[in-house]
Amino acid sequence: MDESINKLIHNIQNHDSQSSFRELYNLFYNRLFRIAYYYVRKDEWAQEVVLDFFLTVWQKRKNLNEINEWENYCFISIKNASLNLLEKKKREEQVFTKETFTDVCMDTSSSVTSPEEELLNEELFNLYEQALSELPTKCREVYLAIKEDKQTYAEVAESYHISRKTVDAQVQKATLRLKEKLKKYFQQNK
Amino acid sequence: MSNKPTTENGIDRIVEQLTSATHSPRGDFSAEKSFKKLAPYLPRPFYRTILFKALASAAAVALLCLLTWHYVINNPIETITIRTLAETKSIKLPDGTQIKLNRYSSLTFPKSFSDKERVVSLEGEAYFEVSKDAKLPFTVQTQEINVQVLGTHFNVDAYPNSPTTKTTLLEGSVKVYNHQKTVETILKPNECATYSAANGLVCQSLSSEAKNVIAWQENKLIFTEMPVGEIMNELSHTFNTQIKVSNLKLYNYRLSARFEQQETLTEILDLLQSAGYFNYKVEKDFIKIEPKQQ
Repeated sequence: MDESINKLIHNIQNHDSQSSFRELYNLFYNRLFRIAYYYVRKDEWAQEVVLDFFLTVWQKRKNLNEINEWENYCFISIKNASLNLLEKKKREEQVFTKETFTDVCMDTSSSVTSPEEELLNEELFNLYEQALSELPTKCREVYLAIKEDKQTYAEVAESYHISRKTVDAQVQKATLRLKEKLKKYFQQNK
Repeated sequence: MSNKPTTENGIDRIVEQLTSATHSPRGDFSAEKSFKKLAPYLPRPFYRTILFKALASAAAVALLCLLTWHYVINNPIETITIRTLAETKSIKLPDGTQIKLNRYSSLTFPKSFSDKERVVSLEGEAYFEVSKDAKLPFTVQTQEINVQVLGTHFNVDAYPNSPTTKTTLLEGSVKVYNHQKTVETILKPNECATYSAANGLVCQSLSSEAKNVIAWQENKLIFTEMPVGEIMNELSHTFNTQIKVSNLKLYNYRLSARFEQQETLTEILDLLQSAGYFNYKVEKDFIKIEPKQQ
């Protein structure tokens, strides 16, 4: 995985390869979108954050080799961009409608959690995303189709041309892996 | 969220919570569709494509120059093409020759004739009144035959979808020959030459009513003792409609008729069907002529 990503980055940096750029985009878009959505909670905004990120990657492609850990860089960039976007949107709302301003304040104050708790949530979420990305592609897709899109087993079975039994097996497998990962984390923190 | 869930249920709940904490991009936000928003910011087209395009356009320019040069050197004659649809047109050539172009036909001629010959090409039917110039033979080229004259009045019927090419002479004399020059004939006034592309033979015959052949100029259609097949052929050219005659006996059945009021095709066929013992049927893209059922 890392080898192939390094190769893509190399091609983008040194040969301005758009096909490698597209490949990198395809590899990471869904994952980064999920992370961005976790923070911004709006499809349009999540998309904006992720596309901005990729645009920056392309524009600064000549310095890509300075990034040591590509994946970490992605996640941190997306998180920061998401939080910045949220800030910006909140400020815009304050300027335009004073009424909603109070609403927003109310909202945030009511859902505010202690900094530690927030960190824990975020850490867990990162763990979850990592576990997801480590799943085989089909397993992950089936799991997300069932759990996120609330599709029925029959629908998923049809769109992936597999039996319902296989769908069930994939979901079980995904759930098990995710749980294992979380268990390990909690054991370490015990 | 509890800090240290130890039970299976606890972990199940956390997985569920995490799963519902976000969702994957779908529909308009999918990776595929979103990339379209990104694409305009990328250098487009690809670097390699730009190079290719540059090379291709350079090659195209070079080719164009070469062709122009070739054209100027070998073909300094500018040509004019005149086409007709459902109308006839009178054309006057630079040498004074008068041409009447029948419906759905086209005539191509040079803007100015060379000092050796006068050549025009014809698709369809036209009547020529060629100005006399003994030093400059006048040639009409058609798909199958050429008609060469010095100065005369004649009609050439050379519609591309017709099995024959018919030349009718009214005044003077013309020479009719095919492109290979294997057949050649010289016509006298009131004679016509019918060239059949199928067997490459020219049939020379006396045209008793040569004037009728050019009646189309006054928007008249005059058929004198003419086989139904030929009548239909002429009608199909005049109205740009395919007409099929199903029966050979009917094809050769001779009819006389005059239409001088610019009748429509339906009016003409309505009149002819009673005289010619046939029925006509309008199909999707052609008209079918069949013998009348007994």
